[in-house]
Amino acid sequence: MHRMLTKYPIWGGLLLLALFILPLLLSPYGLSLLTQVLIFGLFAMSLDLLMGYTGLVSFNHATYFGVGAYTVAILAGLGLNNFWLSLVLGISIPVLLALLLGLLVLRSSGPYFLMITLAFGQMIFALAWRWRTITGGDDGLAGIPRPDLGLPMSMWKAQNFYYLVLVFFAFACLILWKFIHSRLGKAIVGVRESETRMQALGHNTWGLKYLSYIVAGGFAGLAGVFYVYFNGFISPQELNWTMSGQVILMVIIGGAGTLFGPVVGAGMIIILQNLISSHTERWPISMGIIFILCVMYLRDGVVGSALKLRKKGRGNL
Amino acid sequence: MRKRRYLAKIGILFLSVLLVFSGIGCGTQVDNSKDPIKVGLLVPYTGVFTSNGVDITRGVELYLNEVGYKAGGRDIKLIKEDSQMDGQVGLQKTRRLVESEKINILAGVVSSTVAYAIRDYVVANKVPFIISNAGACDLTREKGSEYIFRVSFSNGQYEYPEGNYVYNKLNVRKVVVMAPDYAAGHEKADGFMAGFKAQGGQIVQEIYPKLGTTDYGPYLTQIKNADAVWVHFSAADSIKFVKQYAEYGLKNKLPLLSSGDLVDESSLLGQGDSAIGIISALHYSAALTNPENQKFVKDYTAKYGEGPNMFAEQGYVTAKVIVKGIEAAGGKVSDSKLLLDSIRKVQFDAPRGPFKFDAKTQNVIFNTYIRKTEKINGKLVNTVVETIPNTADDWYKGK
Repeated sequence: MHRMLTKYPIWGGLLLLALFILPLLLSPYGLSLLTQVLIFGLFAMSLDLLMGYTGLVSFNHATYFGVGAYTVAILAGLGLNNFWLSLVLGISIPVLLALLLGLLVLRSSGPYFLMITLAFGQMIFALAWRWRTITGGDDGLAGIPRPDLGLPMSMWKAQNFYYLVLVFFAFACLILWKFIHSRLGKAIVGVRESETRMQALGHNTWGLKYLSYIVAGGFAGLAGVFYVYFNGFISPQELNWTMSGQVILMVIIGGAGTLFGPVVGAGMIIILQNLISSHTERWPISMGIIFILCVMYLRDGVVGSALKLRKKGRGNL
Repeated sequence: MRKRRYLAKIGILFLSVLLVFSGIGCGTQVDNSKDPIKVGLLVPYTGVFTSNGVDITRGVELYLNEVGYKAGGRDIKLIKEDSQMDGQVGLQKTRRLVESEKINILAGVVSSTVAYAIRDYVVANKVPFIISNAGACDLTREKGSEYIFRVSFSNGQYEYPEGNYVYNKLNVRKVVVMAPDYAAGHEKADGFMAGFKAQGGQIVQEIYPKLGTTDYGPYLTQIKNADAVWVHFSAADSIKFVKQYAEYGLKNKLPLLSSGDLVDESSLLGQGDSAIGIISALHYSAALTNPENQKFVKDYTAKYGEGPNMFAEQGYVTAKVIVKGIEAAGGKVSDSKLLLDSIRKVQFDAPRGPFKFDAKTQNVIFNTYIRKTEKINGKLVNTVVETIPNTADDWYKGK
């Protein structure tokens, strides 16, 4: 563990360096995909906190993502384009919603938790669909400008915007990493492993789950903020369960409980989907086959399986 | 050591994933008049509106075949993309078409959500965009742009004259309005109601069921007494609705008026005899007898084994607008002002009748056809009973 803590930052730093240099080599289209990978990677990491570390499979994670995005879009519609205000509200409103919904959904666990989160997620989706005066209904809200940071660089330039996302992405990684490896984070993992044992040890397990739910909601909101800035529009589709399902897939493919695995998962899904669907309209079946293969041969996800392989190798020594 | 090697593996894996797409789209754009002109076609090939996407594509390809994929002395290359009926995906695909494929013209788009989602990007990147279906009014009003053309319709464009028609010619005074609860449903209902009320008609009741409702029973039983019922439903909804309307015994009690989507040629087969007698309005009917349409129906049926519908015709017209526009510009697609001017001025006889753009909004001006669904020689057709010429999308200005 000690060695991992010292080694990970080095590799993390190298990866960050790669992410820093890549835009200089990529085509504009490649850069737009990479930006999207970072945004969805952030979104998937926040879900991993719930799925992988807390052991809660939430089916309404898109709610926080979408609410964060809608917050920015609605503010932009009111003429409020201040980036920092949008950022703060884009995170705090999902957090407030998580505070509220968390009280309700965390009363259940297992499949019931999954179902109740799905129900609440669809309620918010229906609200966005029907509340046409505020959300624009199913047409969504369009024309959201890129953020103005008051810096002498335009965020309309794809590279500048990418670096902005990258900075926040790196910060989020660091905070999540620290959070998971803090005593609090360890206790949360303890809840996943055995809730009754943690209760016996005197931990307030409900509180731990609640905290994890709120933090995950806040980071999903952050991802939503960048998503809406990137695309310039938002529609209820981003609040739908299909979006929640997609991000769950990202976590599973990348490897739940590995934090960075979901980023790899997000990258794989976004890039493969874009590549395959440009070549054949039968892309869903191709993606399906890839998912089945992943489930059959990489049960712990790409990164999870790789980690396991390494452990095995060490065992043989 | 092992740990390091292992972590290196992860790093390599991640980088290799990134490298996969770093190679995409390194082509450089040189305006060589020998290069083919690239046209991107963005329509759904998966999801509930797949059939509309396929019909549009068939129409486009039918016309391009007619002209041998050539316009203004240059080859045309059609690049098809699946919008998946999702704004985010549509935008991503548009980015690929523009940045990676370097398309000269974008066409297609069935869903207004996708159209809104890509609107700003298309305008910012100065790509002429020919909308083949998406009907959201604002696309050619507040959100209009010199880069955006629409060959299909603006929601309400043929519903408004229909409102006039049913009041004046059918002597309908009180109407119940029913449409699915989504943006297009409301816009179309608004168009009809405005046209109907402008003549003095009265809307007794408005009902908005959920999009994709399977059982219309609860809605059908609340219908109040009136002279007629006006509805807008499309695709699978239209089949279920028309059948249930007949099953509930309303068919003989309250005449059914509708937008043309309800009795689309592709829905008639599923609706069967319950569709007979419906009065609808549209900018097209496969039963039109002008020579252009007779040729279109004949060629289309010969090629695809089934008759065309409004979407196929819109695809055909989309392709024709593009080809005629390029020809008028002499193949110089890189001169965007010239190309836009040329497209704006395109006029020809389409299967639907005379086709031209409104020079101001760049939305289509067409004939509105009032049709009656009838059974002729054992086949259900939409017979044109009245033609309202030169319908532009300007009814909202009187409000």
